[in-house]
Amino acid sequence: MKSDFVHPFVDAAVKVMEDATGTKVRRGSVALIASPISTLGVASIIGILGEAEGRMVMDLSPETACKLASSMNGQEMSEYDELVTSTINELANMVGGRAVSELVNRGHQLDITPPTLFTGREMEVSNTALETVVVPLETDFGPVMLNIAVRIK
Amino acid sequence: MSEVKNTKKCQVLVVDDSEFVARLMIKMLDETGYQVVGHAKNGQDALAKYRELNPEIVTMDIIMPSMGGIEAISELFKINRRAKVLVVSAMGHANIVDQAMKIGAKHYILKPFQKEDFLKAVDIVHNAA
Repeated sequence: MKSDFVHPFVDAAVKVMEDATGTKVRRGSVALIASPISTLGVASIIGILGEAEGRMVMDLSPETACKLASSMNGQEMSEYDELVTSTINELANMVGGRAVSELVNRGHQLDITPPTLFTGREMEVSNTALETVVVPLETDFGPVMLNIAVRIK
Repeated sequence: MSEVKNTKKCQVLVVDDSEFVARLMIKMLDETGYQVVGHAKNGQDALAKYRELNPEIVTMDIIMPSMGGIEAISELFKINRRAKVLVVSAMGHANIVDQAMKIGAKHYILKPFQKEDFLKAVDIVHNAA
């Protein structure tokens, strides 16, 4: 996978989470893994379309999701409910939108799909045709794993 | 003779598939004297609510299921060529901003936004000719 396609997603995730929560986000070491990837329990998936195809997954635990959503909504949200899932989906949408916009501004023809959120403790995301770049992001609310899998057509 | 003031609030239709973003915008608008008259979650829903409610301002997301914001704005101007549309989107590349402005949007703001930037954008659209 071309690193040109990965960096904008990582940069966007850090910037969007910092802007949306007013806290610092720290990047961990990048790893390349084969499918399937196991998740932390909450996975918001954005499809990537156009001259490249693939997906970006924002993966976090329900507890981290509640804490992040609390910060973004300005109110305590201890229950994992619809507003929490909507908040996490929008966070993924803002990251995907910003990253793809950066790539389009560089001359690529790309678009994204609306986010879809999956919840489950034993869940795996599988796509045997794609290797996945995993970037751990350390936030004040807990770890957020950014998974990016893109194939140039 | 006493002065008669126009106290009618400016009516806004919020179009966004995210409950989180819609709640945020509605709260900000309500606190500032705008009147949110409806919330639509996709372009088709937006057109139906626009016909029904005839709001002065529409805030429009771009990436939405079934009908996205660009197509919805085009259709909206077929209903009312003087519609006032503020695009509020996570997509901010030059092509899509140009496209939205060319078909008639009055202003474009990126998510995530700060309250003062959002309200300033709404005011710009409100005061647009």
